[in-house]
Amino acid sequence: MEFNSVKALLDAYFEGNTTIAQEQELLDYFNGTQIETSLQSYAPLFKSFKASRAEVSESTFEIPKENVDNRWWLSIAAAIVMILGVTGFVYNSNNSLSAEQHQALTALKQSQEAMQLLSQNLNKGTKTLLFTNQFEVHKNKIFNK
Amino acid sequence: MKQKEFLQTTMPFKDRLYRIAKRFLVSSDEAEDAVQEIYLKLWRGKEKLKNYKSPEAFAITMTKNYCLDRLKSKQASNLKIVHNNYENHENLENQIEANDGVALVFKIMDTLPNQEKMVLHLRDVEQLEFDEIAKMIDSNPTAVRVALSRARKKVRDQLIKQHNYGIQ
Repeated sequence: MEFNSVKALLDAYFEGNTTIAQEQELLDYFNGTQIETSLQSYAPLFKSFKASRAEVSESTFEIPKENVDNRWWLSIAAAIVMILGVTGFVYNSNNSLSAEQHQALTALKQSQEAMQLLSQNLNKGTKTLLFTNQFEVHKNKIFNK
Repeated sequence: MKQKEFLQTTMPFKDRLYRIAKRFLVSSDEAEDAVQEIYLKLWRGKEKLKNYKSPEAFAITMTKNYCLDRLKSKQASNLKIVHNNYENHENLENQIEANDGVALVFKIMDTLPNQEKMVLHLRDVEQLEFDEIAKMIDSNPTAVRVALSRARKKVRDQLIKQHNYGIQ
């Protein structure tokens, strides 16, 4: 590259007005062997950029083993077990009362029947008692005239 | 996002993240650690990664923030950032230092304010366009250009000063 064009590029470079391609030209020029002595002091700058670009990471990244994500089904299983447990308990508790309750229910029925019988007979008795009114009626007919 | 898909999306910019981390943290060991940490974070947030237009830009922003946090916590615990990486490493850097002022440029760059350092690195090392850089540092292309110009001039002035000093 001509001295003048290098100089012009350099000036633009320090003003931030060069394109990436132009900057590459400068980098190539200053990493070459034929550098104008008056421009020699700029060489380290472009050599350092080139050196920096050559640096690479030497470590490898290992993706950590996942064991948390695989257990999503555990929570669902736990939920199912709990639902089964609760419904089972409720269902069971309804049925288990019946043994005792049956006895109680039959006893209730029997006593209700007995009460019914008693009241029926009592009603028969009260019906016959109605005739006692006749005494009063006839008494009034006779004495109150 | 499956492992394979994740690796296909994120692995292409691993070296880039490493270089950015190294620009800030200086030590290559620390930069490697930072890269591991960033990838772990990316993996954990892999579902969100799909929502970003550019996972790379997102990862670069993340790396920058992570490094700045690391630097802050180091300063807080009064640990000096170790600069001897340049001298100690027998490989690339040592050779370069022997024949020119590349190590000096690295040192000068390290003295730049974080934003300028980031812009200079993203442009001159990673060769990114202004609008891409602007997204990564939450800025606009014009501001990026201004910061870049300022950073380049600062490095140049320091370099020339050191150069002249060496001649005398």
